Amino acid sequence: MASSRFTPFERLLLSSRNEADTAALLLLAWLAMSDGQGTLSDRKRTLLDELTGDFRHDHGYQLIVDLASAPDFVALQLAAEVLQRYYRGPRRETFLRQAIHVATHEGALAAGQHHVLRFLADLLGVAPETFEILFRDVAGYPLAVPEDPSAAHYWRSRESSDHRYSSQQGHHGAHGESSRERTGGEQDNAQGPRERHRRERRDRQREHAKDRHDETWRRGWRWRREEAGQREQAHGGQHSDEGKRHREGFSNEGFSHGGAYANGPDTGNEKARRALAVLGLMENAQKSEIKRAYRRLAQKYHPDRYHAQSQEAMVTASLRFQRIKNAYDYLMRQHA
Amino acid sequence: MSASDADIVRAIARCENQAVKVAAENVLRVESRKREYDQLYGTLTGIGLLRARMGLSHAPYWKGSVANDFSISADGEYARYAELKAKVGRAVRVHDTWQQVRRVVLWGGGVSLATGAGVALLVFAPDLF
Repeated sequence: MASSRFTPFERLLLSSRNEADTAALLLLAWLAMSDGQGTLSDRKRTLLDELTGDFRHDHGYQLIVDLASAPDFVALQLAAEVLQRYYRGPRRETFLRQAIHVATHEGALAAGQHHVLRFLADLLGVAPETFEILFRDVAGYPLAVPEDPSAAHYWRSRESSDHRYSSQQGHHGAHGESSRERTGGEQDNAQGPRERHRRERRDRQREHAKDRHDETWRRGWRWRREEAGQREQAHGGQHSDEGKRHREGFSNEGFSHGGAYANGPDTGNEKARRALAVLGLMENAQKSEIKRAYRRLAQKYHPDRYHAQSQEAMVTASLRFQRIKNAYDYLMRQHA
Repeated sequence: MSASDADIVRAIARCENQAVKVAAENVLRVESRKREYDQLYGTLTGIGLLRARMGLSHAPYWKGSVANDFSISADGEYARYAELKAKVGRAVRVHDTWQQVRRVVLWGGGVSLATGAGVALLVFAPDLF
């Protein structure tokens, strides 16, 4: 056994109101700082503050940042063990959504973040198929294969794209985007699928109004945490239903920040198509049909109908109902 | 962790694989690239360590060249959470023991004080009895 003295992170865990939330915060900070920049930018710090606003962790923030920046792998191992122990069921998914949002907040994933994200997915026992769906849902583009910075062509293509970007888009410099973001987005002479993905990613990123996205995402966050808490209480068979929903691409989250993607026509269409699918309608459905479908489904799946059944059935029904309602609200806003 | 420039130059000169040699020249001889490469190397080494210690070396996302390069065998390290619990357990035992000792010391001190006061009164003020 090692020294019997408590390490700073152990003391922090012991004095935390919720050790799992404290551990999650450390792992998120580590992920945020694995972007090759070596520092936690103000923007990322603000994002972490916002994401973890409802974590039951209210002190020791600087220590967390210090441990993540070093990084202290003894503390990270302890945090990972705590997370593995306490984050089960739907809560894992909620955490991974947070992690993906942190990693993709400032643009394309850095190579280090690719590996940290995959480690977190393995840690929580989330299968690659599920994780890729989660990633696409949160980031808006597919999870690519991490690139290899030990190869010369990686740097050549990256720096040439940086150069092109600065000559073509000089006036965009005021946005304060990092060179990594530019790298992720600017591959005009793309040859392989990896480069194509990067270019698509850039287009999507520009289409999205980032601030609006963040604002709406933030608003939806608390609701999702509460929902995750409810789902956790009624864990069990519930999780398989959740996984199915994600495989089908009908997640609640997709509609909870409805207007956030309105700037991107493709994404908007995609969301509308998903919303229509939730209501069991085809494309080009009329407003009256939407209303009719909503009334029918709301009646069929209203949680009150499941009151006499098990708690699990009740929670499942309320989630389904919420999804239907979110889809309906989204479509009504589109038709307004 | 990072090798010095002179070491890198010597290692590159010794390398017989041309592809590796070119890659090393391109990555490790440019300061900004080397810094980022070193950071990623550190992250992957740490992840390899964490995976080995937590039994995640065969998890789905740890396959291929990255896993080959950074997988290590478990080093017999203990679980940190179990260690924390053990430390808390020891701290609780020490606290309880101290409380017992403190109680005994306080009672003993009180009894000694009362006895001393009684003896003193007996000696110096026998008229009271």
